[in-house]
Amino acid sequence: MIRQRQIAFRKEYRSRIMGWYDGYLHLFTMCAMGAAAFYIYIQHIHDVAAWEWVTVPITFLFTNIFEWVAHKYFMHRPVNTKALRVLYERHTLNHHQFFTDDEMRFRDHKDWRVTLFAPNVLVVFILMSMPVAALLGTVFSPNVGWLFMCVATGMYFVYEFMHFCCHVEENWFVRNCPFVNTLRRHHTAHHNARLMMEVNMNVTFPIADWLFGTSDLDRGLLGHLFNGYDTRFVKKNLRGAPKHPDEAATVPVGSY
Amino acid sequence: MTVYEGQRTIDGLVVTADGKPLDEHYEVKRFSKCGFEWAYEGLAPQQLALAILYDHLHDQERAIRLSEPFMKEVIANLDNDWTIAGERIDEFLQTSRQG
Repeated sequence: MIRQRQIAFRKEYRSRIMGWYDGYLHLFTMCAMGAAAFYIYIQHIHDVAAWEWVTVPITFLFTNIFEWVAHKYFMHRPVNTKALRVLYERHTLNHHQFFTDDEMRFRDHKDWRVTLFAPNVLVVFILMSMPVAALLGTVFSPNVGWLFMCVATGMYFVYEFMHFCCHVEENWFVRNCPFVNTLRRHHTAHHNARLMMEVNMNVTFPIADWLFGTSDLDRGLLGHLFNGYDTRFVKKNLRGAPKHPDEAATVPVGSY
Repeated sequence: MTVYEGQRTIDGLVVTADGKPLDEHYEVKRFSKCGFEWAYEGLAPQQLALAILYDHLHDQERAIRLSEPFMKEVIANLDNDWTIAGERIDEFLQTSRQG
């Protein structure tokens, strides 16, 4: 059952969103920027050797750990650097107050503002990836550098997609699609106020959470990845009791 | 007894003692450069533990010594919004072996 403080927070947050904000335009802008970036990356990739494809799984693991570190140490910890503190304020003080494990869903497209990153964050992320890609391109081969860019930018969009799926109404796809259903339960548990600062920091695939012991589940890696909505393996010694996605969607969507 | 309250608001964290802003008490000890936080074990929660204990005890040495166990037992387990009454602190002090 949603609490009065969350209802009040949602009302206040919505009153501060500029009237012209349109979630569909936000999404379209991001997708267009991503498509342009991928068009450029792919233009530069030619005749990939077998060994160069190893870049894909390594970059995938690297971005999974990067996502875990950024979420745990910048989005959930106050820091003095102004640019990084914005991440904490937008995430811990806005996103996590707007969505709790009592009510995890968007009311309409204007609520997407509190979940999707601003388009300029994608630009910053690409700029941050470029020096690493340039280094890899110089040390190994240009293909390795461009493949790194493809996977890093691709994981940014996987993050946005998976996170978006965690905040939509219950439906057949999010309940049954492998990985999406796992992340949806994983992320609902993360939105418990007593767990959010320490538990379930991955927002794509819970690999780093399994690796670093910050998952709310007590099971192996494959079990983590394909857990779905299963709650049998939830740890008993957590600070709070994780909720099931169904419990965060008990009233008709759009009520609050 | 003093009542301590904390809230995560859209404009930032608010921590009060009987309705007035609670000082970080950096002059006693500085664990964190970023003020208070709670619901996990770390430096900002320990700064909050220290500030509450010092405000309650007016004893620098004891507040510093107890700040870590108080952070782990009480501060790390708080909700988004919380209230800690003086009685809860006394209860902690009575059960704490380091008191």
